[in-house]
Amino acid sequence: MNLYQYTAFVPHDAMLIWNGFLWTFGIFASSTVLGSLLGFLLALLLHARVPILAWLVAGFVELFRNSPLLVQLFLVFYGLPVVTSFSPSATEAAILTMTVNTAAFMVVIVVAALDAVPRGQWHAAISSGMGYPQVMRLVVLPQAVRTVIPPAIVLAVGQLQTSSLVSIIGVNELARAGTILNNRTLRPFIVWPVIGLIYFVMAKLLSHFAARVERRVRARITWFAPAT
Amino acid sequence: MEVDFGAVLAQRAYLLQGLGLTIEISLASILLSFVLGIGVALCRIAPLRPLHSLAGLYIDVFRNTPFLVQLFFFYYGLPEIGISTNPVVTGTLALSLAVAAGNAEIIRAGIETVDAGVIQAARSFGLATFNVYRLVVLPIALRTALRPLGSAFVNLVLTTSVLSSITVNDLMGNAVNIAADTFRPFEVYLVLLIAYCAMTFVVSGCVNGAHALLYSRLSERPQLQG
Repeated sequence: MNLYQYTAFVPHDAMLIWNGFLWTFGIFASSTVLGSLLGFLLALLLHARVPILAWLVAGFVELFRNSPLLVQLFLVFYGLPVVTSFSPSATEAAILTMTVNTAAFMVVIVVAALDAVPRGQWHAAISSGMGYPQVMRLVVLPQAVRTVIPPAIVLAVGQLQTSSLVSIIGVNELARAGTILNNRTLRPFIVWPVIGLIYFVMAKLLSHFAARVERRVRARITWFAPAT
Repeated sequence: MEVDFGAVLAQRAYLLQGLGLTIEISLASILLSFVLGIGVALCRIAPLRPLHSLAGLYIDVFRNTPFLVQLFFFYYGLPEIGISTNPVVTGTLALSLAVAAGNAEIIRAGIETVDAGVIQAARSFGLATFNVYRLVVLPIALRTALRPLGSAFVNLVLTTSVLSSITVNDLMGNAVNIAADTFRPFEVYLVLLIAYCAMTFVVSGCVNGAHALLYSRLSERPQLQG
């Protein structure tokens, strides 16, 4: 038997890579959106200093920011089914872990942005008769969003690349397509640059569109425009 | 099934051995990526066009591709062109290259915040460009860059876990083996979560200490009056 009979690249490999791209995009997009929402909610709890809950959030953030995504992924995918009745599929584990991980980083970004809104804004809004929810929704959050966007973009570009780690638990995304091609064709010197290039283009497009969104958001929130 | 750490604790010697390798790889990579980062940052601000573009390309490529892909490229790809690889050495080098790209951007940003007047003053004392950078610009820039560099190093320590995917027997690699042997993945990875947290706290503690030291020394210096 010739061990090397399937080593040539075939047209179907393009489909394999395309499929991988779709999965990478899906996992990245869903976990970034969900993670950002979760991060915002947790940040509000932390910022409002809700007793006990705020400590729990702070502990969660420290734990997930200071441990590798790979460990978190293995804990959810291999660990949870053993001690609980929850046994996620590889994709579910990937999205869940990436979401929680993104949320932990997002909390820090949002809390910093909320803290950066001058206290005078609070005093002014409260003295004009607004309650906490109104101040938050109408005055503080719109200003904080401006500050949140640039670091959130950096986080998202980072998470896009970190999402390649979910290939290790067997999600059929881009890096996994690369592994499959690598193992079959035995041409890593060609396969990995191609996979890397796709991630590179995705990251560049992401930064590009995020910058456009940022400009739009800034243009809409013009009522708070310091001279600088 | 109950949570039971007994099986994991029985393997602590093996885990500690992995921890040792993780610490060694981290220290080597921190040092290497720091030196490389300074070099690339200096190339990036050099007036020589090819050097400047090359450094820019390096930073762009390494910052916008996943570390896993870079690692697989070096570990599996280099033997294809006749360079034999070793998991620990290749892993450490790949990690340093990846982190150095980020460090270069941080250090360049630090250099750019140095006041132009300070550089002109140093020049007017007759210092050569090399000495201007060695004695004046870099000390100021690195002090500014200390905190962002610290978080890059925290990230580096966490990223060493990815090296387990090219068969490095670091903390993560050994933990995977223990999880497979004992069928106690939850406990093993929970211990690991705490262990990595502890390591990153040590790194951020060192950075905070260095920060306090550098800034107190700065304020102790005699200030010019007038």
